[in-house]
Amino acid sequence: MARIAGRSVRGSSHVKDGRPCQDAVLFWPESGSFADDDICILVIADGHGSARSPNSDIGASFATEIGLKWLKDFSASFPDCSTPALIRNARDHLAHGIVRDWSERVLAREAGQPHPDGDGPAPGTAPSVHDVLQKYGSTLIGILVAPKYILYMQLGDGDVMTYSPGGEVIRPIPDDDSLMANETTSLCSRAAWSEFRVAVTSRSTDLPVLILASTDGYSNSFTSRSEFEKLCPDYFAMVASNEWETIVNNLEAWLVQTSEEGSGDDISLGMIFLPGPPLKSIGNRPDEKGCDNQCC
Amino acid sequence: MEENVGKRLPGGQISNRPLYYFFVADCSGSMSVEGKIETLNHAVKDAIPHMIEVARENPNAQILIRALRFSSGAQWHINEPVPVEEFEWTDLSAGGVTDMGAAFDALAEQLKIPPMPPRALPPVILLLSDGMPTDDYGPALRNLLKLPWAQKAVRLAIGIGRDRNMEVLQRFIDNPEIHPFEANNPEQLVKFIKWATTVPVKAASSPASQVASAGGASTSNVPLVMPADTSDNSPKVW
Repeated sequence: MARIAGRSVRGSSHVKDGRPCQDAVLFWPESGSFADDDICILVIADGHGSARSPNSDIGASFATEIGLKWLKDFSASFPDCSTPALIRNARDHLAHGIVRDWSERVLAREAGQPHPDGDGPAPGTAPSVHDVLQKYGSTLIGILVAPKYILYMQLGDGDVMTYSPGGEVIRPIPDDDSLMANETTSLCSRAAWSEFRVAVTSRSTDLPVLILASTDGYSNSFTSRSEFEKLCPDYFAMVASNEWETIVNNLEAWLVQTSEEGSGDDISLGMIFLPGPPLKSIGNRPDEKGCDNQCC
Repeated sequence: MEENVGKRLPGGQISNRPLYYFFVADCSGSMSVEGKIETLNHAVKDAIPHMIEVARENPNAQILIRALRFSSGAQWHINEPVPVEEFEWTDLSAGGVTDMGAAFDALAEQLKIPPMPPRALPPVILLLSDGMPTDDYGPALRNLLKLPWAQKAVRLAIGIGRDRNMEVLQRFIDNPEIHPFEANNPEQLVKFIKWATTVPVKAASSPASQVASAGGASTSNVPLVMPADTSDNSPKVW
């Protein structure tokens, strides 16, 4: 049985300053267990938390809800396409749809909020749409494990790692070297859809046994990238020893302690365990059929 | 909660995030006039306990101090980063010309990745000078400001005395929202150094994220509220 779990914890610096947890995580199925040939979805968001993004905890929550919905729809619409077609559709439809729905939901919420000045802003002083969206700014990582492929998508900072049966840590999504010093791309960025980084792997050829996705509060808590990547073998060793429940039951405490001793930031971690053998060959071969969409 | 809590956490070595503080001090001959270099030495020593207090209040940042002196050439006065809790200031002495470009070159070497770690918090750089650069500092400054960590750093400057060149200091800061301090007497220099070693450090210690600007920002994303008066209206001793 494959497994999925996730947890967000409030960072120690947030506790000290009285700020809420501005991360969010959702996964599906909610039971945390699924058959090897079923789908699972993990979404993680990190609200910016800066002075310009005072509602980013809400923005992160919206991001995970909308990301989960769109990834479910994507798995139904594209059960089996070639990798290039999946990437193209993720960029063209999925990223656009998520950004559009997130923006609309933020603007709808703002429209329903009482204005701090009573009757509304004076003529010419209304905030721009971009400024409103920025109040809710958030990153987003989404992972869809479909029967025949795995889709990874990321907007902004955070980390996605996979652990191969051979013990190799792989970063399926290329790094964005421009993201440093707590600066990030965001759902509120202009043309945010174009900032999504997308990768697809075929489950017939690249089946990881473990997938980890986390917000940057986790990686920033380790002395180096290589120390952070030791999470993969450590968590896998527990999973392989049938200690999944131990992980689930202790994850919150581990993440809290990591934040206290490390970055002080909120930390979210999502984890997918895929024990099954590679499924029958699918995916990239152009001579294969199986998708009714116009994508392949 | 199960018994695994209290045992080793998953993953490798955990630590708070490094925050590098760079003093870049003009030690040209003019700094020996009217006690400027002595005041600078005193002001930095005076600031250290306040920096330690900021560090205590922000345990998720490890404040590491380095110091670069420039006069005829540039040399690292504090070569290895020293945790602020262990930091002891060794007095600077003055003599020579004002090779600020050499200082920018030396600083640029240390702001590359490596030796700077990518996971660091935005560094803070405080440039102190009482005069006009004597070398061709322009290319060195341009090269410095191309580096991502230099761009993301909080860049501050204090102009000391009547011969300071505020235009050069403003070019180093390269941010229209931040202006160099103007110190015309010892009290002002002490006050400005105290501010520059505490308020920006506290701001840079905060892990809040900021939205990247299109095309990459050339200035720090650390929110900084400058004091109301960065110029000196008190008696002009220098």
